[in-house]
Amino acid sequence: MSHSAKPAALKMGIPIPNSKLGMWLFLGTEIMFFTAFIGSYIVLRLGSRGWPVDPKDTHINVLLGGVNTFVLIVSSYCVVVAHEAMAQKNFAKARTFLLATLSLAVLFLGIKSVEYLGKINHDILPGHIAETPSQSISKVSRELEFVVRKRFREYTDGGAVVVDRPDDIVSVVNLIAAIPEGKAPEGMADYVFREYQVTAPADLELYRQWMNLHQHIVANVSLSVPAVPSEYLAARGALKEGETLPELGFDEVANLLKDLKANEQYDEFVSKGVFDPHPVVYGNIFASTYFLMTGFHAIHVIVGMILFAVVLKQGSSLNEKWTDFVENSGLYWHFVDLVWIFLFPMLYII
Amino acid sequence: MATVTPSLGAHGHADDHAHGHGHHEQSFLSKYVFSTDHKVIGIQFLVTTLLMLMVGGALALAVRWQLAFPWGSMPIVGKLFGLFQGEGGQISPEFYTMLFTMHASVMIFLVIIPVLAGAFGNFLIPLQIGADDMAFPILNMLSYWFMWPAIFCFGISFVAGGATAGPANGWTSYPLLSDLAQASPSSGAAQTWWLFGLTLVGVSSMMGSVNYMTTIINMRAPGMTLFRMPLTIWSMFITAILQSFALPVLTAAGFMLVFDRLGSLLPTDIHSVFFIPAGIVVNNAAPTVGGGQPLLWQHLFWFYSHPAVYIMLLPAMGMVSDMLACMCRKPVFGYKPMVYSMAAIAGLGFIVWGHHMFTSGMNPALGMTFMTSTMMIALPSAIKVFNWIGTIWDGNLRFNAVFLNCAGFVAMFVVGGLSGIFMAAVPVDIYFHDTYFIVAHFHYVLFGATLFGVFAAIQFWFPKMFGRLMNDSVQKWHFALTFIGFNGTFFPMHLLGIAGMPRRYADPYLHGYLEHLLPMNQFMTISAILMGFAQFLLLGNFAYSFFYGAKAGRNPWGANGLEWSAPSPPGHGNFDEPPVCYRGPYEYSSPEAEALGQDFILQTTPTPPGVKKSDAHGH
Amino acid sequence: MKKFWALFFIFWPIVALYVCFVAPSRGWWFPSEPMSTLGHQIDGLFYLILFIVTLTFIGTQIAMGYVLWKGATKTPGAKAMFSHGSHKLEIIWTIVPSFILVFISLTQLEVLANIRVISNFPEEARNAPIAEVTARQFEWRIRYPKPGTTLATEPQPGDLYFVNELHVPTNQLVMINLRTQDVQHAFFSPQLRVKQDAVPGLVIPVWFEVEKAGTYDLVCAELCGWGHYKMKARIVAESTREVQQYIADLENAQNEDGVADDTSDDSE
Ligand code: HEA
Ligand code: HEA
Ligand code: CUA
Ligand SMILES: [Cu+2]
Repeated sequence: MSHSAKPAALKMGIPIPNSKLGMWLFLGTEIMFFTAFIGSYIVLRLGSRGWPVDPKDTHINVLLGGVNTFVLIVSSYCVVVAHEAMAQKNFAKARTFLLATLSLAVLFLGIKSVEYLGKINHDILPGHIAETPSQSISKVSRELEFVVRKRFREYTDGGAVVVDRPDDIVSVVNLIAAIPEGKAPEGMADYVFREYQVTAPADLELYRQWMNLHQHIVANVSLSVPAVPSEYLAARGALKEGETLPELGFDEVANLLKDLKANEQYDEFVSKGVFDPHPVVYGNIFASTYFLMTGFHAIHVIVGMILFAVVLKQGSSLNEKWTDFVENSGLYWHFVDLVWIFLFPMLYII
Repeated sequence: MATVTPSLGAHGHADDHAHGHGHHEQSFLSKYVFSTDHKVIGIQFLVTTLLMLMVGGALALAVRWQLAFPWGSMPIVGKLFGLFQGEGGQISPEFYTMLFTMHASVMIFLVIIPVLAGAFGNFLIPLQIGADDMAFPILNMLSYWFMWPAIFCFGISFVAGGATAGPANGWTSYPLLSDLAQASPSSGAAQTWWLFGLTLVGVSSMMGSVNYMTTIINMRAPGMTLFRMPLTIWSMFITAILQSFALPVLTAAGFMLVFDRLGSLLPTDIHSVFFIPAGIVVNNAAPTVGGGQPLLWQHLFWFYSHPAVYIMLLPAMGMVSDMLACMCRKPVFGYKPMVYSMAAIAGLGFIVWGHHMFTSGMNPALGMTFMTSTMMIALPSAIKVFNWIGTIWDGNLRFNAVFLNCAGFVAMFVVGGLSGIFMAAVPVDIYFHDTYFIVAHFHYVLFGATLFGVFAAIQFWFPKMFGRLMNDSVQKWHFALTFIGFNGTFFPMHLLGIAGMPRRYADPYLHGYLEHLLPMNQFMTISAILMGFAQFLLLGNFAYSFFYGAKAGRNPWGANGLEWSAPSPPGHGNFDEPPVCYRGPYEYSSPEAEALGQDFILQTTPTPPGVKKSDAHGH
Repeated sequence: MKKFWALFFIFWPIVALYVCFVAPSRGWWFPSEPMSTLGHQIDGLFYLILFIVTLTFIGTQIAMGYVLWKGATKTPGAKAMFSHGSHKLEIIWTIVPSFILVFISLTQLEVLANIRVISNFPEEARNAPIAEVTARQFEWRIRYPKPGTTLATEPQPGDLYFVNELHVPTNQLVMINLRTQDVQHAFFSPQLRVKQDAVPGLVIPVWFEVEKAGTYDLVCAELCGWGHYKMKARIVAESTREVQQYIADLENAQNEDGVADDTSDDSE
């Protein structure tokens, strides 16, 4: 320890290097860090009256998870071998096995991102998930509106129509409605403008569909009732105290959306922008915990990869000075592995 | 655990330790600013925290001002805030809420915790165990330099949300108030920055505690067995353990809260819902989606913050034990019971957090267990109190300011602790929860105990830090004024609590049953101002003695610890040659000492010939 | 000078005790007698603990004063006692406090159960909460069930509403459902010694029996934003008949401004 004249012959303490001791203690804190997450998960799950487990809701892929578990275990083994090789001063071997670890880590993250994509494609994201039919209805409407506004921005930004407040959708509508008969505003080539003339009717139709749905939602009237404002207001006016019109049904909306997607004119935007309604009770809290824990685990994986990369960067000049380093990063890597072995059954199987 | 039989030194090698000593004639920058020398880092921490004490104190005085003269415009300070507050220095309710929130955050996270572990832990650990530096000097330096981003974040949080919308959700930041941005003007950007600050402080103490544990376990000088360690070291060790096992939980909770608030951080509608139940309507915003549990935060927060209160006390306890023994020229009474009781406090500290949630509608069975464990934690504290008194008993007392502050520590801790007993009793706490009784309680333990201990420690180790003595009579005045001002400020709070005055009220006198308490509050405020300005004596004395204080030799107090065998201030690498430890740290007035014709004997002094070793422990 | 400091430490606890002693006569004490049955039990425990703690306080401070005075009057140059402690003492002052502490916690259990364990609580009142109190920034919203009906978790047509004033019958255990519409609040009535947090997402039953008719404070005891201090409300305790009268008046008032529907004349 001491760098001073006197040889550090006598030393109290335990016979392992500070760096390793420090790593063990650090891992202790890491354990508490994940314990907090796991504990919260248990509390939240037991505290909820339900929990999404059906893969149709969660888009959890047990197979991929299992493969990943295997991948990590193998990578852990590789680190062990690498460290032994270091101890035997067989640095070439050590490097090959560290490389193996590193690539397995990459593979793990690869598979993980496939899983994440599966969720993102179904909008299984915390804060996005509709938990009740009515929530998923308004979700559809919100997303549809977003699509419409996106379409309309093509015209406003493209200059096909000129408005001072592009967000005021109603004023934009009339201008777009005029496009098919209208002629190009000066400064715009005709062939460009013709493009707009082709697409305009479809987009208008999309707008009307959304407006229709929207009005039914605000007025809380079934789609079976025609939704020209005057008419459903009349319908409501006729209501007696306490009476209500039949609510907008979940299936109605689902079908409406199916029709929209069937229509090839604007199918592409719709199916890109609007997710099929699929209420998942306690879906948001599920997604929150899932992404929290797998996310932080992924970050730890990346840190581990950096550690190994640092060693590999030494290339052929790798020497016994690095043995401790490899051992400690190995310890860390086993911990990352261990965490996953807890997370996998918790999130994927139970 | 660690054994007396020495193990091979070759083992004790830290990779980055080598860098720690790369430079022997260093540039100013690497010597005093980005230094990896534990002594410099300790002093950096000390100065920083003293400055933060001023800030926190100023905020406290503003709080007191509002409580004494509700809505009255503040003097100097008021104008100061008035600049960007546009209310002519008049405190608005939002502003008041921000005041006590930041007062607490600053005092706890930027004063008490860093001054104990950061300043004294850093300075004392290597010196007292006879190491030449910490195990990981670079890490040590980082742990200091992570304080500044934290301070920066807290600073930003004052203004991030606009002048009147600083973080104002209490230092406990319970969701949903701290979770939904619409819940209050302070719950927007300000709250986010506050959380960042909190996390950074956490990282800083995290680095510290891993470092301390490694150093204490592995770098003790030959002969420094566990039971020859000064109680300061024991307390720092136990504190470090507490830190490293409690803090990660708070960090985790902080992340969860940040993710809940993602919307107020990034332009996205993706956000987690850990603490957000479904269908909550705040300020007529749309009902929340959710499924989370607000109480989860309280459990996670207190799982850290109760151990944290002992993190804010144990090091002071350890240092006070050292100083009392020295100032009474007497061994610490019951060294091992002292150690075990500290360990017990730490252990029990992990299973009492629920006593902060007695009124939260927790399951009664849980309430009972938390009550019993909380009561039990009074036991080790009792043992310590009695042992301190035993230490003073029939000693050769030196009535200097160090001793007075230590005695103050013991007296004040008893008061603070005993008020804790009331609140530990669930039915009684149902009345006292969130009244000023609580405020009285924790100021007695935090200021009354810990800060008095710190005042003593500053004076006691000042000569080791700067080679000069602090002026004792100024310190005596500082003690007397602070002690009087302190009790004048906080003792009446017990009565306010009994009178049912809730805490965190910008204007309690709005309620008929509290109106008659205004005069008492004004008295408290005056005492607080007295106490506040008494602190200038400390700062003044600190600065003056730094330049003109009487020169101190290696061992001005005639103390036993290893640090006193090193030069003051110790050079780089601390000791002339690696010290060897022959006995426990408290052998004052022992036969051995007398054989040398003095009433102390350094741990490094070999047993004089023909004297039987009096060391009661150490094997 | 030494003696001065010794006296300094002997003097201050005397002042502290004196202040506590005169406090009740100066009104620096409980806002009133406990006005609820549970309140009496709570105060009883408080005074028990106060007694024990005061003794401990006096004990420790006397010990402090003694050792300090002894030290101050010690002949200079005399040698300090050399002792590493005493096993006997350690054992004594471990056992004795532990008994005291266990005793204290045992005395709490029964009252705790009365306050918190719902099964300790008469069936009929449990099934018939008299009102729902909903806290919101920054007021208390009271919802009474339509006369003749029992309180439902969700608002019903015909329910009666009022803000910042809760009427409860005296001399009978009453239960209210406590909930919050936004952030966390706490239902605190100092005179009744009742306190319960209102936690978002939960409906928490609170019960108490008011002994004397009168108007008591209802304040908020959990930080809920800048207006935390001004959630000022009243609990009016009066005879059952008066409460019914009050409800009836409330009902008429609401029907006049047509808030509730007209099907409510079958209440009595
Ligand atoms: C250094 C900090 C510190 C310390 C050491 C303590 C020590 C204790 N605290 Fe305290 N506490 C705080 C800081 C601290 N606390 C803070 C900051 C809060 C408020 C947080 C917030 O809400 O903002 C708080 C709040 C708090 C509460 C929650 C109150 C509420 O919000 O409703 C409770 C309840 O049980 C409690 C209890 C105790 C107990 C039993 C001890 C015990 O450890 C005390 C033990 C010591 C003694 C008992 C005295 C010495 C012993 C003797 C003289 C022997 C004889 C004694 C007997 C036989 C009784 N504390
Ligand atoms: C270690 C922690 C610590 C310390 C030292 C203090 C010190 C003080 N505290 Fe603190 N306080 C807390 C921790 C602390 N407090 C906590 C955790 C809370 C709870 C917050 C919450 O509810 O969330 C709290 C809450 C709190 C309240 C309750 C607010 C409320 O609930 O409405 C009050 C009210 O009187 C108060 C007062 C004081 C005073 C007068 C001091 C005095 O001791 C301060 C004395 C002053 C100094 C030591 C510095 C001297 C500096 C100067 C004189 C500078 C002058 C310069 C200018 C004016 C420019 N504090
Ligand atoms: Cu409502 Cu505080
Ligand atoms: Cu606590």
